[in-house]
Amino acid sequence: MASTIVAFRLCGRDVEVMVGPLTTLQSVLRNQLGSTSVKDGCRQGGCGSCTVLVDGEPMMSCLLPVQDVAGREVTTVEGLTPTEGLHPIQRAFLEANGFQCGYCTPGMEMLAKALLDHNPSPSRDEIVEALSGNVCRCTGYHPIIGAIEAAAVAGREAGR
Amino acid sequence: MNLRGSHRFGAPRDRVFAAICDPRVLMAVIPGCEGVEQVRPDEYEGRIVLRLPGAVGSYRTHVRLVDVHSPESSGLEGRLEGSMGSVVGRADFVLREAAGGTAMEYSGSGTIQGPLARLDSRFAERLAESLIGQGLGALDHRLATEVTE
Amino acid sequence: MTVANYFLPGSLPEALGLLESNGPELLVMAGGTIAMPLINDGISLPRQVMGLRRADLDRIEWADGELRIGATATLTSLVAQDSVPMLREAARRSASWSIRNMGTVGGNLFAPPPGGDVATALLALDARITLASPRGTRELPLSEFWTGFMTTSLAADELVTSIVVPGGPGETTFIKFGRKNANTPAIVTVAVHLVRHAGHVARARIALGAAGPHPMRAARAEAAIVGTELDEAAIAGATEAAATDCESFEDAVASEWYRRRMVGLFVKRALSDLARPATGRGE
Repeated sequence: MASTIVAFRLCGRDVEVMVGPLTTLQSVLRNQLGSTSVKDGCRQGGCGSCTVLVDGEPMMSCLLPVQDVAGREVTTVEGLTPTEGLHPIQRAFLEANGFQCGYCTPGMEMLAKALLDHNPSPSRDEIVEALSGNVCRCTGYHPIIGAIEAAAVAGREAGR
Repeated sequence: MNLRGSHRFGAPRDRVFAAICDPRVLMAVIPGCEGVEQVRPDEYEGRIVLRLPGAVGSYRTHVRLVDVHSPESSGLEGRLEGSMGSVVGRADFVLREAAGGTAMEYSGSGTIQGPLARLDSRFAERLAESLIGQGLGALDHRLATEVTE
Repeated sequence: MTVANYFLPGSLPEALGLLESNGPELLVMAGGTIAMPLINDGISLPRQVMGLRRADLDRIEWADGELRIGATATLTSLVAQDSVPMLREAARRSASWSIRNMGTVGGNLFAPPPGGDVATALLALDARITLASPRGTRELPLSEFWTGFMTTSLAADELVTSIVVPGGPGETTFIKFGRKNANTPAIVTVAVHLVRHAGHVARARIALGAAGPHPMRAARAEAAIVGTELDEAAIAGATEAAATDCESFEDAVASEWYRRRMVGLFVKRALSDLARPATGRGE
């Protein structure tokens, strides 16, 4: 089995990993780089709990060979968190009761980040559509949608 | 897994029977078949490569002719083995003379084991029927274009 | 994992070379949205895998009155183009945002039953595909690509490199019906392309997805509306023909009976949508 070294950027810093063939980004992030915010829910691309951003676009890390992101910018929730306090999206989820068990939350927050970066004023329908790949078993989704609406408002008010 | 189907051939019954009971011909018309050799009278071994979306596998094949009643009917006991699992089963067919050629009816059943068994059995049946249908169509075409001795 | 080698070629010639040297057991994938779930689940156990994400086959361009789509162009890039509205709609209704960022147009042609929604729209648009091998390239109408249940006419040493959609006049509509409104397999997908002259249907293409082993044209339904003014009687004839002729099947989301009824219902809806006056539609 041939190992290879893959270099990419994770949350703004350069990283390098040695991996066997077809190792997924999910596996690398969780097992080698300590980014356990990336969850391991289904490995089918069906639950969204492994969602990360690659060059700002949401992808299912469980289906993504890490070699495919060589040289790219990967972002997880660990990169969303500022050195002090919370990112506005994290604050919005907290204040809207946007999570219970928290398992889907990192994926939901990365989706929210990507959505608001693309579209700072999404309609409720657009939020619902954007979340169609992320499953939540606890909240019934309304608090999550509310959190993203609130984050959008906060982002616009802060001139972001 | 249970299968049944029928097919119409443009060739006369004895030629169709001879071709089907020659697994070398049959395997040559099934897509992905690579290499067949006779190991005993009425027994053949070979290899087939199945390329499905997201899953490619090579399988050893073993076919034995049983209950041969030329030119009317026969049975084929078969085994397919590969890293993705195995299929073991038997198919029987009956040939009748019909206007313009030959009518065939076939039925069979098989047991799937290994990773392949985790797929929906409806998938396996529809795939097998599709491969068989394509093979019989190719056989019909081959018999039609062959020069008769 | 069983994989001994994962190749990520940077060009088509490199990819074809790897395919030739590794033989038919090389598993080829582009977005990975079909292959990786099977590999992760231990159902597919390849030893050699090739990914096409970095092979520079993902361009979309409008040229000489045609839309040329690179085989590894993502479904998201199809949503982003506005040269062919029906493709934008079909891509939008496929899977979820993350999957659309990964899944490709070429890969959608190989989607296992119930089949790809973009593939169905491409069939209604009379798309052609280009296949390349070390022996050269050939072009094929998409209608000749599928040969049966999960089987295609792709040779063991070939790759799909592009899909070409002809431009030209035409009215289109696309409906996908599933158990949910998003991120769901199709119970039936209907894609229609019509050309009318002086109120009469001159040409019609009705492609159905999830109504057979692969996307298929409903030929008798098309014939039922050609020459007509797309009135109720014509639509009823097309509806009956499409439902009767389709190769309905049972799977996890629909029984054979229900699926056949939905084929009829949604062909009727699609044609009725087109029959309404143009100002009433959001085309």
